[in-house]
Amino acid sequence: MKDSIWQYVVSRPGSTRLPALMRILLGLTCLSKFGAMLRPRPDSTDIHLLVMIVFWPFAIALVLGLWSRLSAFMVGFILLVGYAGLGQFGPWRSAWVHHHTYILTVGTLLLCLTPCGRSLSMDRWWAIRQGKAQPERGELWGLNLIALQVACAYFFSGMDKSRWAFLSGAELERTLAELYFGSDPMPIPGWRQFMAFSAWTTVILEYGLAVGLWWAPARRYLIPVAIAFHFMLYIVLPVSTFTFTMCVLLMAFVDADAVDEFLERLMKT
Amino acid sequence: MNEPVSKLRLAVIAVIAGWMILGPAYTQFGLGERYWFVRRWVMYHGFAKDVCMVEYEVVLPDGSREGVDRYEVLGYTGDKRAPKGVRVIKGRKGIEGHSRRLCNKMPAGTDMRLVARCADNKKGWKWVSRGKANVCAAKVPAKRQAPPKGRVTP
Repeated sequence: MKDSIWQYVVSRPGSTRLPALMRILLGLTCLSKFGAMLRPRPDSTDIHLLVMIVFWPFAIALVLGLWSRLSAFMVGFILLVGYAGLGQFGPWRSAWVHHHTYILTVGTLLLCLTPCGRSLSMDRWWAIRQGKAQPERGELWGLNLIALQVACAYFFSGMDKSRWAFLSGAELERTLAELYFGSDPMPIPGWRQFMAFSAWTTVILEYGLAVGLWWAPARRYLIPVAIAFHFMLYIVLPVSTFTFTMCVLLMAFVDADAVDEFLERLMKT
Repeated sequence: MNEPVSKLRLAVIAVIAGWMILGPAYTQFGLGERYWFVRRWVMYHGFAKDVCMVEYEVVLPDGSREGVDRYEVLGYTGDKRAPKGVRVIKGRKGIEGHSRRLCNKMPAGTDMRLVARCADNKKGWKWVSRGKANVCAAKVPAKRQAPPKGRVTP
């Protein structure tokens, strides 16, 4: 038992197709999210230009799987520079400091700790051509850190909401009022009770996900619930790429070999 | 895997995991100051923090009360959509301003009551008015009108 936990923490051997899929999806999300922010602008600062120049080639390389781990590091690192440089002091500060930009940045950066280029990549294609292709298996311990980041986001978010102002449903009600309904109370019987129920459900779910996702038997139920929860948030609130990023990062909890088998079955049928 | 590599790896994992856990814990448990480089997971925490919910009612001669459609009173009917500042009222000042606008549109002597609650960071909602006083009773300053242009009949 102790050995298997040790093995899981520092090694976690498995198929490299899972991190490769995550690399492609996170790379595309980065291009989608930051591409628009990292275009030349008349008021570009030096940091903006630096981030822009480094981001574009490495983000495209990340999606294609070219120097994959280096690309993941460079994209993640330069986005952290953007977070620190532009997010705190730059002219478009508010665009950089959101939770969804941070978790996308950290998720991409941590991907460099996984063998994300050994499958579904230009790196692999090149290695096959040279006759040096390695088997599509590797040590996926970096995925544990991505999983931990996801669990921390759920746990601390749940902790922040464990206040009466949220649990009473008031914060949800006023958020919906600001976004949709205006300052007129909803003429629906039980609306405030429904808000309170939704608030409690959200907090219980966030704590449940933070802990339960580590437990394999619960995972098969919790991951679909988490995905449904994020899509509900996507529809109701302006969360930008947060939903899609979290859905991709949730893959870090999944058994890589099971994903590999699933992909094999999918390709055979 | 050889032992030194796994120990080095464990050290890397411990540093990164420690940062992920202790950073938000440090700021969110209130152990220290907030720093921009320490992430807090407080999504939508301060969003809509000034929003108020309002209901206006007119007191009829027989003492009964009738709800007021504030959009209709202000002329936002049909396709004319009210601007956000009218739809979402923020803070006590926002309520006062909105009440003044409504009172100015109502017939003189109207007894209009306000039931309002505003966002409160601890309680969730805080009652601002429970409809006990006539909000139009206070002297409402008429909107200053610009002098008419062109020839003015003396």
